[in-house]
Order: sequence, then C-alpha cells, then structure tokens
Amino acid sequence: MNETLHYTSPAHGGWGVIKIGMLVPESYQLFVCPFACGRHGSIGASVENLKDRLSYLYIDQSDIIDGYDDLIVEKVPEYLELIAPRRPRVLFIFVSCLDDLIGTDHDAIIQRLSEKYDDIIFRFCHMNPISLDSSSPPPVTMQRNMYALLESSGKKKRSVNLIGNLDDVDAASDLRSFLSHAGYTAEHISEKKDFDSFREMGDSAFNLVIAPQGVYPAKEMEKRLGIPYAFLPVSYRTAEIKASYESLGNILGIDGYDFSKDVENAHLSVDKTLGTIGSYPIAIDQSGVMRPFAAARALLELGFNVKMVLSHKPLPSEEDDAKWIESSHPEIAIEDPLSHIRAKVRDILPECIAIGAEGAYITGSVHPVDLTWDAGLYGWHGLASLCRKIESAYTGQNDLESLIRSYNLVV
Amino acid sequence: MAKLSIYIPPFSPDYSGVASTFFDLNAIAVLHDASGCTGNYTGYDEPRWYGSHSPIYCSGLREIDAIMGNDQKLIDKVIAAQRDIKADMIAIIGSPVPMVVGCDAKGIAAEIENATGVPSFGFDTTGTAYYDKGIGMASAELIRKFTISAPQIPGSVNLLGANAIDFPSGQIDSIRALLEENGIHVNASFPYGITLSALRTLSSASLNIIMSASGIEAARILQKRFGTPYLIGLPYGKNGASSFINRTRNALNGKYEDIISTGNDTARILVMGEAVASLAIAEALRMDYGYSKVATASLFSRYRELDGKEIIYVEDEAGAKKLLSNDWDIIIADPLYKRLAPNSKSRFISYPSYAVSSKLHLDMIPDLTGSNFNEFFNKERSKS
Repeated sequence: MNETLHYTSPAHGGWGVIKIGMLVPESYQLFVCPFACGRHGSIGASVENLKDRLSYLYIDQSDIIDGYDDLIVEKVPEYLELIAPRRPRVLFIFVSCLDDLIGTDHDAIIQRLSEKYDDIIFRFCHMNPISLDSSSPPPVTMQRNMYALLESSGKKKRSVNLIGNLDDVDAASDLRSFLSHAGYTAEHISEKKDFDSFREMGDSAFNLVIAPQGVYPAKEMEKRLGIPYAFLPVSYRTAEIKASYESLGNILGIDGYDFSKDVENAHLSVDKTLGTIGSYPIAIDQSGVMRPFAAARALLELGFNVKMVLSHKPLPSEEDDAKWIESSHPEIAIEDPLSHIRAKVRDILPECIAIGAEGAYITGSVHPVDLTWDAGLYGWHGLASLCRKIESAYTGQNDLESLIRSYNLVV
Repeated sequence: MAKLSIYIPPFSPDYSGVASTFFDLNAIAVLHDASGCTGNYTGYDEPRWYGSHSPIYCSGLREIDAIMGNDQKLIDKVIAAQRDIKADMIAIIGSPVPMVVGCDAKGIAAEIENATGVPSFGFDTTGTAYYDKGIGMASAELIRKFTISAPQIPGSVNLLGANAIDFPSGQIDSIRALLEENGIHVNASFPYGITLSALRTLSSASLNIIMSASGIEAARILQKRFGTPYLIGLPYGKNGASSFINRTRNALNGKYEDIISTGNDTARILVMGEAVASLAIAEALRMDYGYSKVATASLFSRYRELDGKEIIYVEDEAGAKKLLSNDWDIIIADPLYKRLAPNSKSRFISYPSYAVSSKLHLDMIPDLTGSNFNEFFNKERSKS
C-alpha cells in the first residue's frame, strides 16, 4: 500500500489502551499528558462506566520543557487523596506520544513512588500511537505491562491462559471442552474479579496466544515465569483449526478428544449459510477479524464469494494468505481503509455482506456483520459462529450506525 | 501549571476547533499527529463526521519522522492527496508532538502552497488550549486570506462563533430562522455552513453577532479590516429573544447596547458553560423570570471583549468543585459536573456542553432559541 494521509472512518479504532488496561482488576490509571491527549479515552471510558478509575494530570508547555518527573511524584499523593477511600492495587501511570521524545526517567519515578507507597504497584504505560509501526505498539506494550504483574506462587495449576484476545472465548467453544477433557481450565483476564485472582494466572501451566498482540507478553512470561506458550491464532481454515488442536494436544498431552460433533456442526453451519446466501458477495476487513487475509482465504476455500479485503497491510501471521489471495484470486479487490480517497470515494460495494464495521462503512454494505476482532470465536465453534453471523447479517437488519455506536471504538 | 482532573473529561482542544472550522469548506485539513488527536476530533468533537465527505485527515506521524524532522513526508502525502481531492485550500494543524519537536506548520503550509498553488494554512496548535482558540485562529486566517471588501448589505448580519462544537444539533439554523423572521438578513454563519463565496463576502454584513467566544477573533479582524461593528449575544428566552432582536436592530442603526451582565454578588443561580451562552441564559432568566442576579461562569478561554461582565473563569476541576459547593438555588451546567457536588442541595439543571461531554449527552443538548428556553427551563425546574 502507498503511504497516504490517513482517513479516519467513524468505524476506525478499537478498545484503546485504557479499556485494555482496565481489564486488570483493582487497577487505576493516571494519565500525565496535555489535556487534549486524554479526551477520546476519557469519553470512551465514561461510555464503558470505567471513568471512575481513570484520572488525569494535565501538563502544559512549561511542564514539558522543565520535565515532569518531579511533578508526578509530587502530584500522586494529592491524586490518591482525591480518590480516597478507594485505593488502587495497581496504578498505571500513562504518558502520551510526546514523552517518547523527552527522556522522562520512568524507573526513577517508580522507585520513588514505590518507596512511599509499598501497598501500590506502580507501572508506566504508553499511549503512544506514534510508535504504531514499531514492534511494540501501544496494544502490545499495554498487554506486556498487564501480564508483567503476574507472579508465580511456585505451584503449577492445571490451567491454560488465553492471551492476546480481549474478549473471552465463548463458553460453548470446543476449545474449552477440549481443555477440560484433560482437566485443564481456560483462564482469561476478563473473568477475574480481583487483583489476587488475576495474579494467580501466573501459576498456569501454559499460555495459549490466540491474538497476535499476546505473543510478546507470552514470550516474556515464558522467560520470567517459566510458562511455555504457543501462538495458535483464531483461524477459520479447517486445516488450520485441525492443526492447531493437534499442536495443542501434543503440547499439553491431550488425546482421545472426539471433535466429530464439533466438526459436523461447523460444516452444517457452513452449508446452511452457503445455502442461504449463495454467491452473494462478501467483503472482509481488519475491524471484523484480526487477520482478514487469513479469514478471506478460509471463506474462499469453503466456497464463499469473497469479493474484497480491506486492510492497511497484512499482519506477519497472514502474509502467506495475502500472497495466496494475490496469486490465486487476483480478481479480489484489496482496498486500504486508511487511504485518503476514502473521504470521497465510499459505497464501493453496497451489495455485500461486510465482516467488519469499517469495511461496512466504506463499502456502504447493506448487510454488516456484527463482529469485532473475532470476539469470542475459536476453533470449530468459531467457524460455525462466524457462518451464523454471516447468515444473520444477510437475512437480518443490522443497522451499521447503531453497531458502531455500540462498539465504542477509540482511535 | 499542572492540574489534576479526577472526574471531568478533558475538553475539546484547539486542533479540533481548527479542523471544525474547515469542515464545511472543500479543504484538505491535516492533523499532524499519529492517530489519537485525529480520533479526538472525528470521534468526539465533530458531530457531523458520520456520513460526511470532508477531507480531514491524520498525517500518520511516526516517531522516526518526528525525531528526524522529516516534514517532506507530510508534504508529499498532502500533494498526493491534493491530486485526487482537488481541494480549494489546505490546512496543516499541529498537535503535541509537533509542538515538542518545534515543527513549523506555517512553513510546511508555505511549501505546500508553493508546490500546489493552492492556498494553504499552518496552525501551530498544541493540544494545550481549548477549541475556541482553534476556531478563532482558523477563522482569522481564513478571513485574512479570502475575505475581500464587498458592498455592504444594509440590515444584514453575520453569525460569528457559529460552530458545530457549541451548537452541535441544529441550533444555528433556529437562530438564523428567528433573525430572518424578524426581518434581519443573515449574510453568513461562520464557520458552520460557510462556503468559499460566503467567506469572501463576510464584509458585506452591517453587523457581526458573536454567538460564542470562538467568534471574537473573527469579529476583531472584520472590525479592523472592514470596520464592521459587533454585538455579543444569543436570543434565548421569549423576552430575552425580543431584547436580543431589539439590540440587533438598534445596533444596525448605530446604537450599541451590550449584553447585560447581572452580577455575581448575592447571586442565587449559577450558569456554567460557554461564556456567551452563559451570559445569554442569565439574560433570559432575568428577562423572562425576573431573576435579577445570576452568576455566569466560563469553562474555556478568556477574552478581553468579555471583560467587565463579571464572568467567573473556572480554571480547573478544583475550582469548579469550589464554585459548585456554594449555596446556589439552581445550578445550570453540564451533567458531568453534578459529580463534583454530590451533597449539594441546589437544584441541578443539566445543560450539556459538547465541548465537555461530547456524545455522552448529545441528545440532551437543548435548542434554547426564543421560547424553547422557557419550555426547557420550566420543564427542568418542575422536575422533583
């Protein structure tokens, strides 16, 4: 893709670092930044009823010139007084893009604060989209910070952490029954009600990374806590689903689980959906699934009529899929949702089922699918659910503007 | 000076004000940032964004380009966009990172204008000032560049500070209609609904009405360059609107009466929000309900044109908390401020400000034009 000015559609955005960080129970967030940097996160947090754990220390130009290391140490006590009687177990101190350029000594600040408040864990976090093209963009560094809080008690639990995905995997997923077949429980941060039970994820036997942003934190956990991991991302390709379960089974020593019912259900869903929508066009984009090229390939292999993929660029884990589409299906349009022409040129495929709100907005799709970043989907159940969602979008009346509003996307 | 804010969200910033000013013009407006600043504007400060085709963009600034001062990348992207968009003008809008690295938005704009031949603007906005300042600086630059000396239309007015942040849901159309019904011709509203041709002939109006503090900068420059006088106010309340219409007519005839400030001493009612709107609500309460003392508070920037009106400027959350803790009978303010006075016995009337609470309460933002104010106030006052 050519680098252009970026168009920001109303469907652009995601969870944002605030909502991600708020998954840590009993954590609070103090942003230290020019006031403007906090506006989207603050309103977004209000919509999610998370604002009570989010506060700001606004800095101005003179604070930036002078450096605000001392200021943070000086203002944190005042902040803690103002939020009392609430008391954070963890205080995430966020800085924004400009902090990358001025050399704030985060470690020294943490040390000074930790000496003063031994009951609070302090961590610096970065809301710095200026680093989006690096190997550590904000959604990754945020998860690194979160999982760096885990500790091992020394005893191993027969549990598997699901890492990277922000929504938990559906309760009915075959992943859960597969794991429980061998006595493993699936652990996800969103289920944790308090900080101590979250921290116990550090005793898990294994980290299953199912979304790319979890790879880096899982690597660190392997090094620090000795928890092995595997990156077996959400996939809708039948061969990959099978291969992922085989890998997982080999790693965890799970055998004898009978997938036949799950496979049959998935194929029934595929057939039923194909029977309903026939060759009706499908557009797929990176706001609906994490890996749109991989998902497009899966749907093509299953017989769906994928006409368009909307993506700024493929993720590393789907580069092969992007190449496969380019060589095997050159007729499929690849569109960049960020391209400057999107301000003017939209409604490019109104008669389509759009998997992903951003693609739906740009294509002008009359059939938007209600799905964000594979939420809840994994394995055979994930494939079946995706098909049901496609069918539902085709036969139902999803209103895109309402869907976008309900997603509360933060750029 | 650093300020803690525990409950109230950050307000709409200067760069959103600039972008909002260019929204109705066929302008490539580029927020020079990584993504979040543009997200503030498109997601929380621009109620017209969904479905619009305004070519307002994010530059996609990345760390290496900021550190290396690689302005050429931005210039190249803008030139490429202009080839496709064919805009009438281009604006480069600063944000905190360009501020820190000393980016020269005006210089970049000059290079772009040189390369494209398209009128270009640069704004060194920083994210440390409020939206009204951004609207003011963009309005002033647009007037300097485009407004020509045009024949004056007797009895006509411009609506300045008419912007989509202070008036997000059709209020400007109501005010315009009210003026027209009373025989006062509206030459243009600016920036809301402005066209390039209307921008050129802003000088045709005989009077400028400042509808929000964001219009003060435009009024200043139109007065300086074309001698156009201005009046501050909004037609809120049945009698308040009559008074406003009379003041406008008088001003068109050369007799200027300032909006009356009712004074803060011994006031029992507090109106807190945008400065001109607060003054207009106070006037409506006086004209329509006989409340002689109403305190008015502004959450945003100070302007010398508002000096002497006894406006209380709320500097931060602590200041707001202190002000709200006074023994008021009635507080009229954004509903988020209720949180700062949990034990207050005052009747709290929710009057959302989009620059504060954005889309959280967008559907509650009232149109207070004329007798709408009375309906609003009567209804809110009667709530138990």
